[in-house]
Amino acid sequence: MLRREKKLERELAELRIKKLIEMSEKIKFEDYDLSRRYIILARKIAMKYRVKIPKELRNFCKKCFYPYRHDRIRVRIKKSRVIITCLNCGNVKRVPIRNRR
Amino acid sequence: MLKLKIKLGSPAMVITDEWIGMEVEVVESSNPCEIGIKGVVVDETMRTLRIKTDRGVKVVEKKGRAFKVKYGRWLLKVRGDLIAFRPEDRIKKGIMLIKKSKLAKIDV
Amino acid sequence: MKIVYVDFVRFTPTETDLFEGYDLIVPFNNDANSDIKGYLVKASNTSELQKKLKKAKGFVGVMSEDLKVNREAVMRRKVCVILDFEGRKIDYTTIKMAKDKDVIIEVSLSKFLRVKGLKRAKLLDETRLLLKLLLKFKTPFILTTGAENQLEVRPRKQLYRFFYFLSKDGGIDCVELIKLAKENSNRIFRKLVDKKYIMDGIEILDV
Repeated sequence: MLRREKKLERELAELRIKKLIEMSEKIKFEDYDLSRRYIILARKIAMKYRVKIPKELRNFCKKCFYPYRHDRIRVRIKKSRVIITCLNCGNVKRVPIRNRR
Repeated sequence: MLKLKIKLGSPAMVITDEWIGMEVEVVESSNPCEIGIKGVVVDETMRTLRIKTDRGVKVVEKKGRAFKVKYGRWLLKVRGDLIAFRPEDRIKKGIMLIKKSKLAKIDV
Repeated sequence: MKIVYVDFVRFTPTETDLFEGYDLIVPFNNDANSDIKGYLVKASNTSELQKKLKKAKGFVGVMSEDLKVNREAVMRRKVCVILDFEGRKIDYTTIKMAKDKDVIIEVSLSKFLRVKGLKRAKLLDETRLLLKLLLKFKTPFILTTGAENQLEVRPRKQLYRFFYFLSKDGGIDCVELIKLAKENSNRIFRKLVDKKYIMDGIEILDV
């Protein structure tokens, strides 16, 4: 019986996710749809091997998976939170700003 | 249970790694027009690779072809049948393929 | 591409031995000291095989009379070759499984030299059936001399001629058989010797 090497799989998955999202970031002003495709691929890998996409790489819309681009989103600050509206699908993301004590 | 130690950067790991962004060239194919297509991989599906060449984006099937790939410090020739899975499946299935093959040189 | 011929033998060859036309000789002999060698495992039952396989290393060949042992050996990851001699029994399912697990099945010439009379005639028939099945499932196989001493070694030309006529007699596609045998021989050679050959389908072209 051959057994899966889950540790190695996860290690590889993390590397590939990083690679893909960096690449999508690079081309997002040239080919918006392709960079969305890369994010979908990265998410598929993350879901299959149960790896978290690191927080600093989660720079895309949760609903339509288009990466955030300054001309396709609206950023407002209101009631001590950052409100990011995706203009492709209209999804709203709210990030609270908290004081660190 | 015998455990295999597979090194991360070894040349056999091409089949598990990300192919988008790699420089490839089609070396073997039953279609003579496809031989010599050279460029950077733009997109990948289960059965095809999209290669960006000087003359636009070409779609090449994986099965039955052989690719020349630059991977790390090696220049490899990889048979397309080994990577003919969905891109996210390739991690799991590629490791299985490496483990299954006898006398594979893993720790180079 | 140049075709390389590989031969398996059961003794330690010395320099005075004559091997005509072979590029690589793999001795299956556990006390040999050469750098390229096979690891011979002889077993009479399955538990013995499992015990012996734990110590085994490298290019492992299994030699056994028992059908069950051969079937078990095919399923083991360590086993690379199922070695041939006159008493070997192998069946339909084992050959089919060997294709899946990529285990090479050896077909040797020297077993015919060791037996005589009716036994030899029966052996010929058996081998024909084996070759037919090997072609049917495209199981990897290799034609060898399988010699146990120096007297049983035959030149390459004789070996391939013999199997060519044997298969033609039995109505088997002889050209295909020889072609596949040469391909497999090439593959084994590259696996054992060539450092640029990583696994089936991947090879290093340049550093």
